[in-house]
Parts: sequence; structure tokens; C-alpha cells
Amino acid sequence: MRRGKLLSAATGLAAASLALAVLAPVVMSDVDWPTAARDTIAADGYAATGATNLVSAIYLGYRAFDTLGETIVLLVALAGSVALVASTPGRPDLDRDGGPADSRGPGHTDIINVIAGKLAPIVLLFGTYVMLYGHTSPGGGFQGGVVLASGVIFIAIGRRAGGIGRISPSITAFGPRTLSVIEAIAFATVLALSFPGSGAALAGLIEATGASAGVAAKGVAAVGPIIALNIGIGLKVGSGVALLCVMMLGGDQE
Amino acid sequence: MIRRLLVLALFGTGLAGLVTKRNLIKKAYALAIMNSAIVILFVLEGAAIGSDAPLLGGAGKLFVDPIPQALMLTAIVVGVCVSALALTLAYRLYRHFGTLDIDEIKRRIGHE
Amino acid sequence: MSDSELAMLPVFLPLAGAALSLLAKALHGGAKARALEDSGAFIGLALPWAALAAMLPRVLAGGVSFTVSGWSGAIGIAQRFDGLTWLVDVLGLTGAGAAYLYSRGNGPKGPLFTTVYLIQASALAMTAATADLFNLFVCLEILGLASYVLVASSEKPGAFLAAFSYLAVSSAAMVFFLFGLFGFYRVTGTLSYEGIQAALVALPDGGGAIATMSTACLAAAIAIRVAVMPVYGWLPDAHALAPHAVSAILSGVLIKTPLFALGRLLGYLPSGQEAMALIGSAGVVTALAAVVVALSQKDAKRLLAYHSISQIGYVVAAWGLGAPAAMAAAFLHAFYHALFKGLLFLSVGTITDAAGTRNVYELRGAAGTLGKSGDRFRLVGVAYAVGALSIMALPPLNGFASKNAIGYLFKGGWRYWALFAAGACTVASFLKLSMIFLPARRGAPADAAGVAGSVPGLRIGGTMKASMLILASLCVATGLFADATTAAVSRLLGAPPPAGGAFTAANLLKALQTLALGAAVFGLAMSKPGKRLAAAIRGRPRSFAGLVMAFLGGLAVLAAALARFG
Repeated sequence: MRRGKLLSAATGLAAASLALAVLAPVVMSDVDWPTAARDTIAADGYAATGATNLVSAIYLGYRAFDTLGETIVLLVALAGSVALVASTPGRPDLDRDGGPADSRGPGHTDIINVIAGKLAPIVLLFGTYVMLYGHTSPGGGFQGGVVLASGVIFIAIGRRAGGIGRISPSITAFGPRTLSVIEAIAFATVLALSFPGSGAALAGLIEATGASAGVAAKGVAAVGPIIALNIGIGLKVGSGVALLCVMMLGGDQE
Repeated sequence: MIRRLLVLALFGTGLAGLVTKRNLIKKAYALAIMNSAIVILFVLEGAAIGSDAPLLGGAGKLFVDPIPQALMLTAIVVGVCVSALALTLAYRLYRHFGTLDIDEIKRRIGHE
Repeated sequence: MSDSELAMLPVFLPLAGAALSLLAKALHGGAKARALEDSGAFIGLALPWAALAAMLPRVLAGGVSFTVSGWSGAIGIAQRFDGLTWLVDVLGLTGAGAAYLYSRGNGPKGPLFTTVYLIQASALAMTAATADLFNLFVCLEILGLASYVLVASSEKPGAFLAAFSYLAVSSAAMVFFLFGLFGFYRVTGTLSYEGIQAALVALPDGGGAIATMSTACLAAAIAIRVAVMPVYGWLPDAHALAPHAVSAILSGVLIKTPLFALGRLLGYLPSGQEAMALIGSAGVVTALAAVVVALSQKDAKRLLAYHSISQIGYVVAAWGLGAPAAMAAAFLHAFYHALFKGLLFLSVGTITDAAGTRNVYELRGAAGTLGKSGDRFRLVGVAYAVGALSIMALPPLNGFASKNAIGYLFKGGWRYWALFAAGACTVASFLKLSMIFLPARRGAPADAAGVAGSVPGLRIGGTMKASMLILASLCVATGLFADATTAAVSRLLGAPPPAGGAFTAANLLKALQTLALGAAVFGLAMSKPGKRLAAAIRGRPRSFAGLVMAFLGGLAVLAAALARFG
């Protein structure tokens, strides 16, 4: 036993020192951090994208293609996890109300059920705000989407068996089925908005619509594609994460 | 200087954990720690050239570099996805073998 | 449609297909869902061919460079669609299309599989065209996650562990990739390959130690995806335990696209040539070492998986030379390997499913078993034969042409003889695998043992046969018209047209020698001491820690060698 521990410690030490020997020159160097890219974005970023949050200008404007890839990574990971969880043989049975059978177990009290149910609309509202205002303040689709997902999870917890704030699964709009439809449509939207040229087309469309209504929509038009992407990503992330969590709560077996 | 050393130490901790810990969940966490180290490094170094958050408005601001922040936003999401999938796989393995010990699981697969 | 939009179609069409297929998944079955999934697969795997055809004249005219959506080059994402991109896309679409066709017959099925599969096809095209460091990171992560999910989709416990190990080791490597990216961004302030190259040239020390170490980090992290020695350890389990269609695309395509992406990247870096040469030498060692391990295997699919490592060793060896002519030889072998290894995985997978065992030493009478499962015209057997003869590099099949082209590059050196020996071991190993077609041993409980584990009611359906037929005829066609194919690939890669043809007397003689030597090695391997040695090689300890340590060791060696050159 002792020898095994020593050996394992030696392996860990060897691994860390090999890695650090290679990484130290990269990390410890005193080369000045480059400023050219920052200066370019600070000067042109707003004119090019309409976003005052320069991080948004990069990841939804200049480098939106990376963000599409990121959305895809999330899609694959979540869909893969959902499938792996769902196909587990002998998952604990769930009761007929769509909540886990052990929902009356420790940690699952009426207080949690009620508060989760009541908090849900507020959390959903906050998530929507974070999602919609990503172009001008910290936040955006990914962050807002995760908050939205928390709201849906609160609803799912609130409607568990015996919960007082319970919403009947039959009338809720946040069942697994609806969530996966939202996910698919949101993904298609993000994809369409990411194709080269479609952002400019959308901006042109907003400007033309504004002009026909007699409104100068210049600033709105420029940032339109970013807001649209934020909404698409927010719904995609929100429905995807919520779907996984609802599945883990046993919601697929309603 | 000290901050960079701390980042390296954090990374080394994660890597050593990945190699030595036999528990699948600890391995997944070790990966997350390694990922955090590089995220911290990017954001830390990118902040060396400025002092203000990269939000336009007001004059005379000296922004930090927004590019590392945008890149790390992506890296964080990717890291979370990897963790999620790793934990799901660990869950499935646990459900089948009743253990999270990678050597034990390997031994049993060899026998099947 | 502008050039740059057209060049993005091989990426976006499969994604559009994936979106349709995702919608089909949300609909939970029904005729509408099936129609959506089918049209998604068609859009994702068939329509990109039209885009590639439209790109061909532009590629022949020198290719196009652009940034996605026309953003400024300093911050936007650079792309390069040239002959190499075009060829790698062709490789990916061929492998992906044939394997998907097979999956429609023998699984995995369902809209989720189709979605992930199409996303993987899209990421292959993305990886082939990218000229931006961070975009490459994203591409590799998509490829990785899709592979983990696809490997795990076989629902075998061993596959879960294989997927976990693959995930853990390659995610750890991707953190090193980010460190490398950090190093280059720190000294150059840009992420596009061209920008990095220009900035490094302008620096007095060319980037110094940071650039060297960063190059090592990037190259090692990508090498793990290629499964070259010493970072190959994750591959055998993952490829052996995945569903057959997935094995076919993982072995056929997924280990090659990152290699050519790495070649593109290293072409822009100051110590890139040295890194390629070093990895190329590792490739020669890989080709020989992996085939010896393959020869010792008893699991049919694991044997094939080790051959994938060995064959990628050939590709990497040629790739390491870096010259356009060598790159053409590397691509040819990569492409041909995608065809014949895809064929082998599909045919052997079908046979083992029908017989219910994967043990090469036990499985006999494969032809009869196949006949019972609905293969009346011996198509699977013929497909296997074409694949096996191709990988054994026998004329007139395609492996003969590409292995000779690679051998020609190394004429006279130690590499030539190492690859020759690897070729002989390949012959031996496939002679061994072909024993599954021997008639069943008398007295052996063949039927009792066989039927017990076989896939109940495996019917070898039309799509399965069609996919094998396509791959087999491509193997034969590229073999018969080897010289024309070589000339076309050389032209696309800007290499001078090759001097001699494939079917020279010297090459034919070499094939005979390889065959004779291979038969001798086969005899040795099937002898008592040979079998004992094989069991020892099979049973060597393999641990997860070893996987990570091998990566770190490889990284350190690469870094040290590059530092010495620099």
C-alpha cells in the first residue's frame, strides 16, 4: 500500500515537472502584452458591430464563427449526455406525477418546492434581461441562457410531487418535448445567422423596415445581428441545459 | 511573478491529480482545474495593458485586452461541456460496475 | 454566391442537415421526423459534393484565402481553401458518406446519431480549411466531443471507459494547446497563421523560447488526435469498441484531418520543419511497432485498430518530409487507407456480428455464416478480400500504389527498410485475420458458440451492401487508375508530376518479396512460441496514467529537440 502511494506520488511529481519544464518559458516570459488588437477594436469595434461591450463585439461579431463552433460543442455534449442518461438501464422509477420517486427524501421539503416555484418567473425574467443586453453590458446569450435554464429547473422542482407551487405537467410549457423543439429551432436560427453575409442582410432588413416606418434605425440596425444571435444562443443554451437537468430530475418519464 | 507561479502551481495540481487519482470524478475535476488555470492566465495577462472593463462609454478609458476574454468565454463553455460529458460517462460506468475506480473498472472489463 | 461563401458551404451544409435532424429528434418519431432526418442526411452528406465541384476551378487557380464574413484580418477568422483543403474534404465526405450508408443498415440509428454524425462531418471540413489558431482549437474540440459521444453510442461498458480515457487525455492535451496559443498570442498579438508568421519574422529572435515551446505544445496536442507514437494509446479501445460505422469513420478519416491541419499550421511556424521531421520519424517507428502489436491481437476489430495506427505511421512518415511531392504521397495513402480501412471495418464488423465472436483464433467458416445472414452473393467476403489485398499492398489495388510512392521517398535509408518490414508484418497479420474464412473445424462447437453471441436476426441489408460495394469499387478503381489519381493529387498539391508509374517491374518484385516475407512471419506468429509472444504483447500493462505520461514524455522530447535546433 505504502509503496503504491509513493509510486503514485512520484508519477504525479514527474508529470507536473515535465509539463512545467515546457510551460515555464511560455508563462514566465516578460514580453510585453500586445496592444495592437485592443487598439483596433477600441477604435473600430463600435462602428463595425454596434456593440458597446467589446467582448460581445468580438465573440458575436468578428469571431462569431468560433461562437457557432462553441454552440455546436454545447449541443453535442448536452445531446450526448441526455442520450447517455436516458439509456441507463434500471434508472430509479419515477412516480406518476413526473417527479422522482424519492422527491420526499431528505433535502426535498415543501419550503424548497414553494420557493422554487415562486422564484421561477423572477429568474426567467432576469435571464431574459442578461440575454437581451449582452451587447452593451456584461452578459449575453450563454450567460443569460444558463440563468434561463435555472428558471426552468425551478419550475421543474416546484412542480414535483406534492409541491404546493406545482404547475400541472400537462399545461406547462416547459416539458422535455417543448424544450427540445425550442432547442432545435434556436440552433437553426443561430446557424442561419452565422452564415457569411446573413448578418449584413439582417442589418439591411432592419434599416429598410425602420426607414419605411419613418424611423432612423442606423444604430439598431448595426447591432441587430448581435442581439439576434444573443437571443438564439440564449434560447439554445437555456433549453439545452434545462433539458438535461429536467431529464436528470426524471421529467422525461412523465 | 508570484501570480504566474500560482497559475503554474494550479495547473500542476490539476495535472498531477489527473495522473494519480484513480477516481473518475476526481479525474474530471482535475481536468476542470487544468482548464481554470489557463483561463486565469489569459485573463490575468490580458489585463496587464489596461485598467478598465472593455465597455465603451466615457472618455479616457484604458481598456484591458478584450480578445483573451472573448476567447476564454469559448474555452470556459468548452470546458464545461467536457466536464458534463466526462461526468455522464462516469455515471454510466458507476451504474454498471458499482465503482468509480478506473483500475478496478479496467480489470473487470478485461475479465468480461 | 461569392468565392468565400461558396468555400464555407462544405461546413454549413452538414450543419444545416444537423439542424434538420435535430428537429426530427424533437418530433419524437413519426413519418415526418424520418423524412426530416433523411433530408438532413442528404443535405449534409450529398450536397457538399456539389459545392466541392463548384470550388474545383477556383482551387486549381490557386485557392482562395479570406476571413469569415469578411471581418478585418487582424481579429477575424482566417480561412484557406486550397488544393489540400479540397482533397481533405473529399477524403472526409467519401468516408463519412459510405459509413453513414452502412449505419442505416446495422446502426447506430436515430436522429441523434445523425445529428452528431453530421456535426462531425462539418467539423472535418472546418478543420481542413481553418487558418486561425483559436478556430483550430474549436474545430478540434468539436471533432473530439463528437467522437466521444459516437464511441459511447455503442452502449458497451468498455466503450464508456474508452470514451472517458480518450476524452480525459485529449482534453488535457487541449489545455496544452491553449498554452501554446497563449504563447503565440503573447508574442505576436494575432491568431491567424499568416499574422503569426509575419510577426515572428519581424522579431529579432524569431519569438525565442516562447515560440519554440508553444510550437511543441501545439504539435503534441494535435499529434494525440493523429495517434502517432507515443501518444496512440487511446485509439485501440476507442476504435475497437465503437459501432462499426463509427469505427470506419474514426479510423478512416478522423485521425487524418488533424494531421493535415497540423501540416498547414507548422508550415507557417519558424521551427515547423524540424517539428514535422521529428514527428515523421516517430511515424516510421509507429508504422513498425503498431503492426507488431496488431499481429499479436486476437480481437478482430482491435487488430484492425492497431493497423490504423500502423498505417497512419506510413502517412505521417511521408508527411514529415514536408515537400509537396511527399505531401501528395501522404495524402494518397491517407485517402486509400480511408477507403480500404473503412471497408475492412465494415466487412469484418458484419462478419463478427453475424458470427457472434470477435476472436480471430476461434472464428471460422465466416463465408457460411454470412450466407445465413442474407449475403447470398458473397459480397461481404469479396469486400473483405479487396480491403485485405489493398492493405497488404498487392497489385493492382490502391494500397500497392500509395505504399510504393511512400517507399520511393525513403529509398536507401533506414526508414525504407523499417517500412518494408512493416509491410511484411501487415501481410502476415492479414493472413492471420483471413483465417476466419477457413472452413469450421470439425468437432469444434462452432454453431453452439457462434449463435449464442450473434446479433439476433442480423440481416445484411441493401444499404450495408451498397456502402461496401462503393468502397470496394473505389479501392479497385483507384488501384487500376493509380497513375491518373496520383497525377491529379500532385497537381492539386502543387507537386511535380511523379516520374514513373506504379506498376513497374521493381515494384512488382517488391510486392512478391513482401508477400513471401509476410508468409514467413505469419508462420512464425502461428507457431507455439509465436503465440506465447503474442499473448505477452497483448497482456502488457496499459494504464491511464501511462497514457498521460506518454503524452508528456512526447511533448518534452519534442520541446527539447526543437530547443536544440533553435
